[in-house]
Parts: sequence; structure tokens; C-alpha cells
Amino acid sequence: MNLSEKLRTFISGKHTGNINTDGHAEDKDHYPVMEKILEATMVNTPLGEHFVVEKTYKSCYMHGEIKLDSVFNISPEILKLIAKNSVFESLDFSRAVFIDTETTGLAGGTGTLAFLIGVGFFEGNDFKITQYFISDYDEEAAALYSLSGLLKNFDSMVSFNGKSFDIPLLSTRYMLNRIENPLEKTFHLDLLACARRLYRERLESVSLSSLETNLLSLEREGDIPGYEIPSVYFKFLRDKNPYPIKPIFYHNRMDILSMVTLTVNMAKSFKAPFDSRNCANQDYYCLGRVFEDMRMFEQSIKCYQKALNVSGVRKRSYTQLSLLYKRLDHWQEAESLWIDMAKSNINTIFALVELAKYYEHKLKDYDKAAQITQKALETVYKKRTLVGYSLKDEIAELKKRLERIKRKREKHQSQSIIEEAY
Amino acid sequence: MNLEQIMDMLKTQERLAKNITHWAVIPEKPGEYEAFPEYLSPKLISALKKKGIHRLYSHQRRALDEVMANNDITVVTPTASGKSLCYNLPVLNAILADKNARAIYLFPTKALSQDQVSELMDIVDEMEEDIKTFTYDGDTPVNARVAIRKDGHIVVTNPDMLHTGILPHHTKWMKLFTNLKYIVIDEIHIYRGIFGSHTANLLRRLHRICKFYGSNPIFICCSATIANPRELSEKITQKPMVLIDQNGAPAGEKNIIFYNPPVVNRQLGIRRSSLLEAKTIALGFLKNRVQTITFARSRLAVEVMLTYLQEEMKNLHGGRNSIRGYRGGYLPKERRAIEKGLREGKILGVVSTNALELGIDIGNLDVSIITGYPGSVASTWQQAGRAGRRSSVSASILVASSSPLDQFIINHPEYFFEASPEHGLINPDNLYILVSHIKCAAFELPFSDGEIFGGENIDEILAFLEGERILRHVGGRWHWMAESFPAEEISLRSASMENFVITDITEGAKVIGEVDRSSAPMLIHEEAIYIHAGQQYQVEKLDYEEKKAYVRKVDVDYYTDANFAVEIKVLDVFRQKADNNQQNYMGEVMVTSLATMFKKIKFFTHENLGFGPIHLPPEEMHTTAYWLSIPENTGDLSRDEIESGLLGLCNVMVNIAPLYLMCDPRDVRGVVQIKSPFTQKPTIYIYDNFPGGVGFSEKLYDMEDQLLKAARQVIMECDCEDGCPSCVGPYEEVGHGSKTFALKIIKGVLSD
Repeated sequence: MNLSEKLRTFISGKHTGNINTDGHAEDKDHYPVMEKILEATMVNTPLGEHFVVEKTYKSCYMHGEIKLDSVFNISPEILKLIAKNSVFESLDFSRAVFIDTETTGLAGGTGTLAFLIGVGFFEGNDFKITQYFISDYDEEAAALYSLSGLLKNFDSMVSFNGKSFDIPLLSTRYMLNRIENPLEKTFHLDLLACARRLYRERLESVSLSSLETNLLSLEREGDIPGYEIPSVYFKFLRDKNPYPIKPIFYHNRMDILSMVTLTVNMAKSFKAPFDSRNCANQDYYCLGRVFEDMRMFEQSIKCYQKALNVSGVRKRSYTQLSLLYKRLDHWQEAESLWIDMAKSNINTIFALVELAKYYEHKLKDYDKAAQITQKALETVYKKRTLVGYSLKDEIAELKKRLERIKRKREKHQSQSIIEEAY
Repeated sequence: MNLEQIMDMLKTQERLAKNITHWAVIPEKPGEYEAFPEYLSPKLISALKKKGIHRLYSHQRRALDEVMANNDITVVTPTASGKSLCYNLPVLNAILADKNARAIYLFPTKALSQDQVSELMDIVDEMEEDIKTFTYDGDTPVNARVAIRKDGHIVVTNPDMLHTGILPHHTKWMKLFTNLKYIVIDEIHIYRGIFGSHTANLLRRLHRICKFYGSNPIFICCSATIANPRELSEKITQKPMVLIDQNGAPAGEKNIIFYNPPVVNRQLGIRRSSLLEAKTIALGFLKNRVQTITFARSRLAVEVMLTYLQEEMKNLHGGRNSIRGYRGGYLPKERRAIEKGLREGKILGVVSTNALELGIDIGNLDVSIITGYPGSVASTWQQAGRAGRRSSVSASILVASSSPLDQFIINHPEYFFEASPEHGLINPDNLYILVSHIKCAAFELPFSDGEIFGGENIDEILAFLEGERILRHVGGRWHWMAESFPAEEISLRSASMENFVITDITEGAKVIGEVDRSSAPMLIHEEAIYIHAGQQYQVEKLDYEEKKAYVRKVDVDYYTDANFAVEIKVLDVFRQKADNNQQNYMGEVMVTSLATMFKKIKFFTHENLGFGPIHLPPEEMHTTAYWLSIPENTGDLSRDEIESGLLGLCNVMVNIAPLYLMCDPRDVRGVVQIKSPFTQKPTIYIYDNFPGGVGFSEKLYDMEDQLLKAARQVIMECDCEDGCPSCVGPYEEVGHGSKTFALKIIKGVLSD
């Protein structure tokens, strides 16, 4: 057996005599067809050639019922909320790129290539998408070089899941090609995190396609499912037939356009949360959390209040709102909420314990505090009978609390007696 | 009774004393010391002094000096000789001098690495220096990983993690690879066979990555005593090594006792079971509350021994739970608890496979009992070293089984106490392994035309992989062209990644362990009794396609053992030579094995309770083999006599080969053909029991007559009348007269 035969039996366990009939990699005959079919241009760089596809969307272009340039109407305050981080108030969309890559796999690691890098940005009010395409591995350095050149004109990035996927992957590619990485210093807004914060309760999935269908009223035509992309590209590498990869370019552009639309949509949710076109149901709990974290308590309270009757987030909204009242020293509101909770059996033990704390520490009404703690204890016992598992810690804690309150009550009573005696 | 009293009893009690074939007292040995060298940082010296170390053992000093001179070193050290300082000192000294310096420590198992980190941390804490040591393995939390990649001065890991977690993501480890000064490989003798061949390729990948980042680390390797420590480390690291094998550490008095169980059937040469004898001896210690570790050779033996000891101890203080089992296949949490129990003395006895022979910290035990020769002199010393690691008197008792190798060792203590005959063998160019790692390497960094890997041009393999559409050749480079992550598909520990998952379906479904594919037909065929943690399970269903076995708890008085039918076909001859009357060959073969049936064997009496069929597809394996053919008229024997003699001789050769190959007895297999289709003559084949082979056959070929001569010695010295398991095998298997015929065959082919 020669080495190849051995290899074949060793590796594949078959004698296929598989002769490699793939087109020779160095052939450039397909270039003209590619330029035509993909509407691509060959670009020369000091590091070699690569293809680029450019598309411009006029300022009136609508994507998902939204005009792209309406991102410019997003105020700094709203940007802070979208990012849940006040540094982002200075994000300037005229100096930002929307970036998305198509790769040879999702596994990550050094063996995954970003073969199509799409970058969307505004030129005036027009939106332009430049797609750097690597029609074979040896064009990578050239494409990365061009991307670096373009990024010099911008100081921010917007992505969807770019923080954990696209950007580390591109950073790896820059390092492997020994080119300075232009992505590290840039300001990066990852919309996946923002969208998850806002819509995770209402939507089962916050993938871009789910957001498009459920939120942005978008439908794609002639798209390719993401999981098919690597194999379609590998096939292209072998046969250089540009037709099957055309949808990948479309897919990439749609992703970028949807990022713009999604940003605008999120801005609306924060700007006019009570407009039913912008937000619904479980969103209010999520909005409440963001507003609370950003210390916009008035809005937060309004959102939580709206979420109190939404199934799925009801318990958490009650709990969160009551704690917010407590934090803001709105004790009466907090108390009435806790009473409601105890009555309607929403996170009852929590509510009772909070009430007990309130009566004990705030009102120093030890009778009431003891009474409520006793009730909490009974509830736990009842729960134990129902669920059948031990709630030792909870019981011990409540007992401890009850004893402390009783001690305080006695001390207080004896003190009052002494005072009265005087 | 204390340890000394029990040992006196061993010496004087007739029943036991008569079975002791050798009692060596290794006297206390004084240490040889050297001063701290001048170049050693004062901070480091003062930290060592605080830990009570005021001078170095001579081998530690030499290690430091050689590394200081930029030499790669291999230190050969017995247990408890302060070997960790041999690498910790140069590494810490370098980091103190340059805070950017980085080191990787490789330990063969996760458990070992956790132990080493705590020791290293002690010195670092003593110095109050900001030197960060991290364990990076499968258990490292994701949020800790970023910090480790960036700031870890010393990254402690194992080959598996380097393989799947570090090298394929090397760009995230840029700082480590750019500043990598040292690579420490502890227990390098463990990296032999399949695992060693994989590791050598893993380091070939590491070399490429270091080259990409412009670093050239020095290797510091530690090995147990074997015949070829330098050769093995050089093959694994691809670097010339300076060997340091003069141990300067002191040692306490050690008793090493060889115990051969009595013959119970002289005619058949059958001895009392080593398991039962070891059990009796172990109970002598355990019942007197002497902390004892009992090693057994297989997982099965561990479980059987555990069952016996727990049964005997159940009514004594501590009860069943004072005796625990320890082996691969137990879950990590279970293992950590047992280690802790041993250290704290809460566990009196442990029954273990070789999993505990390495430096996992279980404290100092008084006695180690080794049930059956562990298969290598190095392992035996390490298992013996589990007793009395510090300077107290300790005892280790080797209880031989009837196997020829055990009998050979127990009757030839000189093999054990003098120069080790054992060679750590690897075959980094095993095609199967090599190609696997070329895939991983291409994923990590594209290959350039003409680039060499492991010293060889690999263009042909790259072209093959391109044909398989795994790589793409463009612009003079070979790029990874697949969606998959190749490292995840390749296990360093076995020839195949395919493990069978064992699920207990007694109540609900709970995964209790795993078995590798090659052991599956043997251990988890349907109706097999699988024993885990002392509990018997019967395999109810084996889903061969899905690689799942479903078992149910049972309580029976037997275990099962499978039989195999094996065929062999020569594919290629690499080397051949004629000596005297024999033809020797080395080359590639195809082995087809089929599990045919299983036996039910009763506990304690080991009688055969019945048979059952096994219905599993045959397993095919390409591997390397050594074969030996003899003339048909050798010794004027008839055809049947030759067959019987060959079978016997083959059994002996296969059984003693591990003495030279340092492999598990199951790692080489033998097959006999009375008229080989290839040689046309009576032929004995001995093959590597791994796809692609790992170097055993080549070593056997190179051994010339050594193996035949050793086989002759075994057969001649055996007391049995007509063949027994300790020599040619029982006559039911090899036929009457096999012993005589085998000797005639040897006489016919050897000229002396």
C-alpha cells in the first residue's frame, strides 16, 4: 500500500479512490463571472486582491417600516438606556459602523474564517453597506487590510452578538495575519445584549430572525438559513460557482439593515413605552428594570405598575416594585403592595417578611411585626406540608426573627411601664 | 499490633512465611546536599528557608544549573525525592527576574495538577510576590479564564486541555505563547503508548505555535525510573535532553516483600488466587487499624477486592465505609472525597487501580499491597512508594498472580531491583495519530508548502486531506476548510474518541460511567455483569450504534468474562531478517476480532457457572506487528505438535513482552498460524493492540533472541507438569505436551 491508500483506509475506512476533481485553486478564470453575478469589484491592496460589494440605500429607504436615517433622531438619553450605560450617550451614528460577519463555522478557535465581512455606515443620510469578500483563503489579508482602512474613518461599532462572536473572531484573524487589530480601541454597542434586556420576557428567542418576525414586521425573501452558510461557501471554494453564494450576501446585508431598524425600535420602546406600537406585556417588567438601573425611578415605577398584571412577570414585578418603593422610602406604597401580595398569594413569604421588617424597624410596632412573622411561619409550615420537602433554613430564620421581635416587644413594654411610672 | 509486629508475624507465621520468595530491606539512605546557587533569587532562598529548606538535594541543584545553562533536562526521581523543586525553582527564579516570563506545567491528570498548584502557591505566598499560578482545565470557571489567559504566570494544565482548550485558541493566549520560557512535563514516563504518541504530536503543534509567536521554551521533564528516560523525553519533546538521574534525597527504611501464593494444583500449576491472598494479607493490617492501600490491576479486580474487604470489615469499627474503592470511571467529586478521607485518616483502607499510583496527595500510608504485578517495574515502585513517603519504616507487598509475567518477576527479583529493563515506547508517526494532529495543527495555523511536522515533510498527507475536502491548498498554504473543531473529535487517551456511556435504569436513568470502545465488547456486552463502586449491574441492553449501555442493579454471585476469536492478515512488510532457522518480520497487519461468548465465573471459587453468546459486529484494526516464522520440520514435530508448541510459546512471549515494552499485558496480543498465508510457514504474530501501532512491534523485532530466551527460562523454570497459566497456558487451551514442544521449537531456532 502506498501512503495515500493507507491514509484512505486509516481515515475513512474505505477505498474510494477519491480523485480530487476540484477546480485548481489558483485559477482566476471565474473572476469576471463573479464580478457580474455578485456585482462585485476586485480591489487591489498592498497585501493582495479581494472582492468588494457595495450597496447604497437612499435616505428614504424603509426597512421594516422604519426609515434608516431615523437613527439620527435617537437622543443621547435614549442611547444611554439602550446600552444601559451612560458612556454611550456620546455614540454618534455618523461615526459608527454596523458590522456583521459570515463565517466558516460557529465553533470559534483559530480555524474559523470570516469570509464575508459586511460593514454598514451612513454617508450623509444615505446608508451604505460595503461587503468585503474573501473568495479564497489567500485573499484574507487583503480584505482585513481594506477593513482596517475603512474603520479609520469611524470610532464606534454596532453589532448583534459581536462581543462574543464576530469581534473576537476578527481579532484572531488580524493576529494570524500579523496585521494591527483596528477593532480593539473602538466603542462597541452589542445589540444582542440590549435586545435581550428588553424583549427576553416576551419573546421566546431574541435571535435576530425572531426579532425581525415578532418585532420588526420583516420578512426575508430568498434568504439562506445561517447554518447552511459554511457548507455553501466550502462548495463555492471548490467549484467557484457564484450563484449559490448570492443569498449569503443578501443575508449579510439584511442582518445589517435589521440592526439599524432594531436600534430605532428599541429607541421607541424607551422613548414612548406606553405607546402600544412600541411595547407590550412582559416588556414593561424589562423596561422597569432598565429604568431602575439607570436611576429613572419615576418611569421605572410606571412600567412596573403596568407589568403587575402581566402573567409570567407578575411576581417579579410586584417584588421588584415593592423593593423599589422601599429603596425610595415610599413606605406606604410599599406596605400596601406587600399586603396585596400576601392577600393574593404572590411571593407571600417574601411579602410577609418585608412587612415584618417594616413594622419592626420602621414603625417599631412589635405586635404587628410579631403577628405578621407568625403568619409567615404558618405559611411556611403549610408550604412544607404541601410540597413535602424540608424548609429548615427558612423556618429557622423566621423563628429567630420572631424571637427577636418578642424580646424587643418585652423590652419596649417594660420601658413604657417605667416611663408611665414616672 | 503495630506495623513492625505485623511484619514479624509475616516472617514467623508458617502459612504466610513459606510463600515469601524475597524480602528486601532497603536501608535508610542519607541525603546528598548542595548549597543554594548564587544566581538563585534571595527572595526565593528566604522563602525556602521559611519552609525549612536550607540546602538542596544534589539532583535539585544540578537541575537548576542545567536549566540555567539553557539545557532541556529530564530528571529521574523516585517518589518523595523533592522533584517538584527541580522545576519550581528554575521557573520561579526566572519569573522573579522577569515578570513577563511564562511557564506551562503539564500533568497527566487533573487531580495531579490541583495538588501541584497548592504546593507552588505555598512558596509564592511565602515570597509575597505577585506570581500567579492557575489551574486551567475542564473545571476552570468560564469567568476565570480570561484572567488566566492574560495574567497567569504559570498555567497548570493537562495534555487534554492543551489539546482542546489552549492550542486551538492560541490567539487568546498570545501573552503566554509570546513569553513562554519553560514547559514542565511531570511523570513523563506516563506518556507512552497511545497517550505518549498523541502527546508528542501535541508538542509538535505547540512548537509551531511558539515559533509563530517567536518563543522557544526550555523543557523540564520528570520521569520515574525506566530504561530509556532520555530517549522517551527526547521523542516526546523533540529536543535533546540532559539526563539527571543521581538522586540525592534521603529515604526511610523500606521493606519490599515478594509473595507468591501457594500452588493449589501442582499438576495444573494453579496457584491460590492473588486476589484472595492479598485480601488475607490486607485484612491482617486493616483489622489492626494500619492504614493500607491495596492496588489491583483492573477495574474489575478493584471492585471484587472492595466487595471482599467491605464484607469482612462491616462489623468492625468504621464498618464498610472505612474501606473505599478508587478508579477511573468514578466521578471527580467522589474521588476528591476519597482523597480527603485518606489524608484525614477517616478512611482506613483504599482499593485502587493504578489511578492512585501517581502523586495525588493522599498522605502517608503505612502499607501498600500490590495485587498482581502492575505490569511495569516503574509502576510497582510507584505503588510501593505510596507507603511511607516520608522517613518512617514502611512495607510494600507484591502478591504475584499465576500469570507468566508475575511468576517471572517474583522468581527473578534481580529484574526488579537492578537496572530497569523497561522501555517507554511511543510512535509519534503512527499514521492514525499523526494525521489527527495534522488536522488540528492546520486548524491552528495553516501549513506552508514544504513545512515539516515532527521532522518530516508531510505534503502527501496534506494533499490527501485536501482530497478529503478537509484542507484547502491555495497561495502556497494549506487552510482548514471544515466547520468542525478537530481537536474535539480526537481523544489523547485512546485510539478512538468513541466512549460508551453506561446508564443505570434501575430507577429512572442515571449515567454512572463510561467505557472506551475497545473495552466495550469485553465489559458491557448484553448480560455482562458490570461492577461500579462495588455495586453489580447487569447489562440489559447495549445500543451499539448509539454507544449506550443500559444496566440494572443486580445481586449475583458471579462475574463475567468474554472470549474473542481473532484473525490476522499481513498488509505490508517494513523490515525482515533471517536468523538461524527463523525469519523475523515487522510490518502492518489487519486484525479482525470478534467477541464470541462470555463465561460466568463464580466469586471466591472462580468456577465456571455457564456460558452465553455475544452478538456484536467484528472489530477491524490496522496495526503493526512483529512476526516470527519457523521451518515446518522444526524439532521433527508433527503438525499438531508444532501448533501446540507455537500456541504455548506465543502465550509466553506475549505475557512477558510487557517487561521490556512497559505496556499493559493487553496492549500486545498474539496470534498463531500453523501455515501462514503470508510466510507459508508456522508463524507467531505479536501485534500492537492499537490502530496504527505505537512502537511495540518494532521494539520486539529489535530485541533479537532476547524474548525467546526469556520465554525459554519461564517454561523451563515452571514447576507444572504439562502446561499451566503461568507458562504456556493450561493444556485445555494449548493441548497436551505444549511445554515440551515449545522448548523444542526454541531449541530448533536458537543456536546457543
